[in-house]
Amino acid sequence: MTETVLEVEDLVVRYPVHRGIVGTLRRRAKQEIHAVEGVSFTLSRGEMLALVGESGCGKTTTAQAVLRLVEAEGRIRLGGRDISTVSRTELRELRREAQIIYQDPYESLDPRFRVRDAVEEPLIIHGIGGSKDERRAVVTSALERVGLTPPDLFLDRYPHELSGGQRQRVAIAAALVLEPELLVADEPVSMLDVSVRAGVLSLLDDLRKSGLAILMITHDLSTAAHFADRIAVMYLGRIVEEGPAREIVQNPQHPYTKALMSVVPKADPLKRKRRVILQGETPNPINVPAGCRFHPRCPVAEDRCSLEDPQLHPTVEGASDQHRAACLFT
Amino acid sequence: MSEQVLSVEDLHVWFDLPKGERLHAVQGVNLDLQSGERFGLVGESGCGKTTTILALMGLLPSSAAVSGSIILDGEDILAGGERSMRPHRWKDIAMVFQGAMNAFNPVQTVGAQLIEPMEFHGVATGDAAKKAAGQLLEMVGIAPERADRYPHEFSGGMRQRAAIAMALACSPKVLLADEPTTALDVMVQAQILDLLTRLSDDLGLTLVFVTHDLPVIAELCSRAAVMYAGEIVESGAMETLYHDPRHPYTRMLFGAIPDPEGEKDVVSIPGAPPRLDREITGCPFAPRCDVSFERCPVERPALLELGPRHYAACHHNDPAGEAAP
Amino acid sequence: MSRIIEHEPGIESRGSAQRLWSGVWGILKDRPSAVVGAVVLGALVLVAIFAPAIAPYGIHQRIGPPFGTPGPYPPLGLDDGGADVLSLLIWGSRISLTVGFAASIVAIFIGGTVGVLAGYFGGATDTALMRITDYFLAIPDVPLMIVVAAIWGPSLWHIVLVIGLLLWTSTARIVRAQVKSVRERVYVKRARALGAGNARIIFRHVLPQVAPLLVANTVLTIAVAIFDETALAFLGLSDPSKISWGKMIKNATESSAISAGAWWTIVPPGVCVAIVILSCTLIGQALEDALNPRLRVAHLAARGFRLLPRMLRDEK
Repeated sequence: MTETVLEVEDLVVRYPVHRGIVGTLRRRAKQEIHAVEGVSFTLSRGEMLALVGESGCGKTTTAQAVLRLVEAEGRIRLGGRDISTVSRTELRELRREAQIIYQDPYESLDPRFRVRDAVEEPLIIHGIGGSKDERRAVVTSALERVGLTPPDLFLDRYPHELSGGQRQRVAIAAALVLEPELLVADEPVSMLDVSVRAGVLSLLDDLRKSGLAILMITHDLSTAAHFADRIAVMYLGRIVEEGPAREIVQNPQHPYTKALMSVVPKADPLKRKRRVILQGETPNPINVPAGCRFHPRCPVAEDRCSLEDPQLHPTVEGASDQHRAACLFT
Repeated sequence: MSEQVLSVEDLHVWFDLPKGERLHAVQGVNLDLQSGERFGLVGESGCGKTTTILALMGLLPSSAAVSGSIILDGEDILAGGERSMRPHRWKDIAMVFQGAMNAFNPVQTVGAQLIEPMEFHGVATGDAAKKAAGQLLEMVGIAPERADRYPHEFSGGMRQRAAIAMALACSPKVLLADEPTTALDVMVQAQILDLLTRLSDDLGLTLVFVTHDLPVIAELCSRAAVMYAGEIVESGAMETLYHDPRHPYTRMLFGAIPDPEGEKDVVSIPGAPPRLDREITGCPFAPRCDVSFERCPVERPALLELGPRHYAACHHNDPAGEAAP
Repeated sequence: MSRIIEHEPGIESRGSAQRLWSGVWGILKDRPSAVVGAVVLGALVLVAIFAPAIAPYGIHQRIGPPFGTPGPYPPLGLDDGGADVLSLLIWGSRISLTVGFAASIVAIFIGGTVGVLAGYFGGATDTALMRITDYFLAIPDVPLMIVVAAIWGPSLWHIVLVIGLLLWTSTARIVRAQVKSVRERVYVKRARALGAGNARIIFRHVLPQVAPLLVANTVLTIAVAIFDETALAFLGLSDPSKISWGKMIKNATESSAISAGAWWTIVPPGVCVAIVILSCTLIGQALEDALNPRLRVAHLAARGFRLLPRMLRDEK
């Protein structure tokens, strides 16, 4: 029986737009950026869910909201506990169960902290790990777990003495030291060289197999297809399609996903398919189109698409009930 | 019948380092570009691809030393240094820099910034220039009326198009582009790649596309060169590089890329590229290679011709010496 | 989603922030002007510390006629009371340097605290603290010092406090700007995501990044503080029982040294003040230069590459 680690229901994140003095005097209407507009998903132990989408779709905001790093409305349950409205001290406890690793390996480590200090810090913050020696043992085993062996070679190094891939591994080690149930990975490899990415992604895959639940944020459909169990495609603050990774990629149902899949560059020059290139760019989240959010750019939109806002439902042609899309045609 | 428009012979670039050392950033690069061709220059960070194209434009600082030949329409434009490069800069060879979409002057309209190179190089002035700027914008898919807008009123993708328009302001023969789509969403990237394809087909523009992203090159280019540690280790047609790679790095690089249809395993390449401030003996890729043998760390492999316009620098291709163990 | 980081280990692609930690001296030694400044300042500090051992005479000791001319001995002549100017300089350095250092410590402490609080907490705290800073900035220095000395009497500590209270504002601004930018760095956000409290983040993550800038600012503040002290002493607002360089100039002008042609009573203290300020400025500027992130697109601006003939290449 797979244990549900994370349950998100109707997550909403809105930012007010700063009007400034002139705007207030001119009585400009108060506007809000609807960064995340009703997102729901679950994540189980040992599962990797990839949130995929282009910039502005709300995937990073969703990840931050899940960790309560931004203010949000809606229900979030971590390990069965409702953490949507939780006190400061309880929030600190929460930090032990859910961790995050960031996109920029250069920036995510304090340049003045040695590797051993960086990996030890979470233990010190939460007052766990016992004596100095016991903590050092935890740090050493964390470094081994992420493939930085022999650990002694890395303990005393500064970030600028490490490569990007090594830095990212240190960040992962620091996240693991608290033994979290959930790991959020925000574009973990997009700033690494291609030859190094697979190593870090395989590491995440191994961690997943050992029971960690991973929420991966990425714009790269290929990476998601390869490593994630499930994919959720986001557009303008909503999930427009979700399901098992292979299915989404091989049999996309939503027109947006279909278009995305068609333009993802393929390494094999002989496999060029017909590309559906959408016009324009993702609209500003301040002005969300009425009806289906995607209809202004949708290649198969009809009149009713501007009137009705489709919700996620199991698709007609999908291989399973798990494959859901938010489109009036499916 | 397309003719050769640009050829590069034995290009070397050294950078001075503090304490008297030198970094050998580009180690003997040869290129051979035909008119209307879309050519990809692929490699990871530090391989020298950006330095190579900056050398083609002569945009290297005083800490750089360059040698070799850059032959444009039969003339070696590198021979006279800055003096001989300047007349061709932007008029014959132009460049879209890395991050160009963020390099616009925020207090000038986009139109003014398009006119500037035209007037500076004497291509057009005044009203003629304004008209030309409008046509350029149209060519890259932006409504000409937007010439009076400021850069911050353009979206990222539009600014990239404007940067391309700026590079085409003096109708060059060769367009160099350094990671033009790296910071863009995949859909916008597709739009830009489509635009570049159209421009190259319609204008007979020769395009050199520099990136670390192999699949993008596979979509856009007909031929490519793979760079490693400052030199080209393999070059040839895209299909050949994918289906018949003759250098282990090329093969492993393709093997490190996840395929959207997700069937084969993805493997990373262990180790790191060699330091370029020291002399490298033998093949620079040998320490990371999965098929290296005794000859590799000792003797530097030469670039061998393996087929029509297919070259690779690996001892395994050399019938004369010892082949695979 | 943008740039790929460079990973050439061995080539220092990240700037001087890491080098700084191995010591301010590490930066300075690359710049001859800063080394000169440091050495000179160090020498003057040593002179001030060991003044009792070095000074040939006391400050009230009369060893010759008023305005005795400089010769081989006494090397800098005598002042209006017949005291040895060189000894006066040496004793005076104690006060000038002490007040300068003490005042700048006060300024840095206040300015640093205000800057960190304003920069880190932002919002209402920031606005309130910055308004206070603005008010202090608007106060003219010298008139305030005159007023304070006039009301509360001339004493060394009053001077230190007054100078300190006026100099902290520029420090506060610089520190606030730096703290604001450091607060947005990913590793700070990460520390918060790990559950670190504000105190830990400020002391372990923010302050170390601010410290180098603070050092540079401190050195420059010292220069200004010493100048202010000299000015105050010249205006007669300093402790009358202590001798400082400013006091020496004051005494000289009041005793008509100029009309007596006794330049040696005015020039040496002025030169000393100038030397200290210059030294501090050289050091401070060198530090600031090293800390400014330099644009790494210099290669686009310059086109001065050197061309090597192909034959030469083979000899490499």
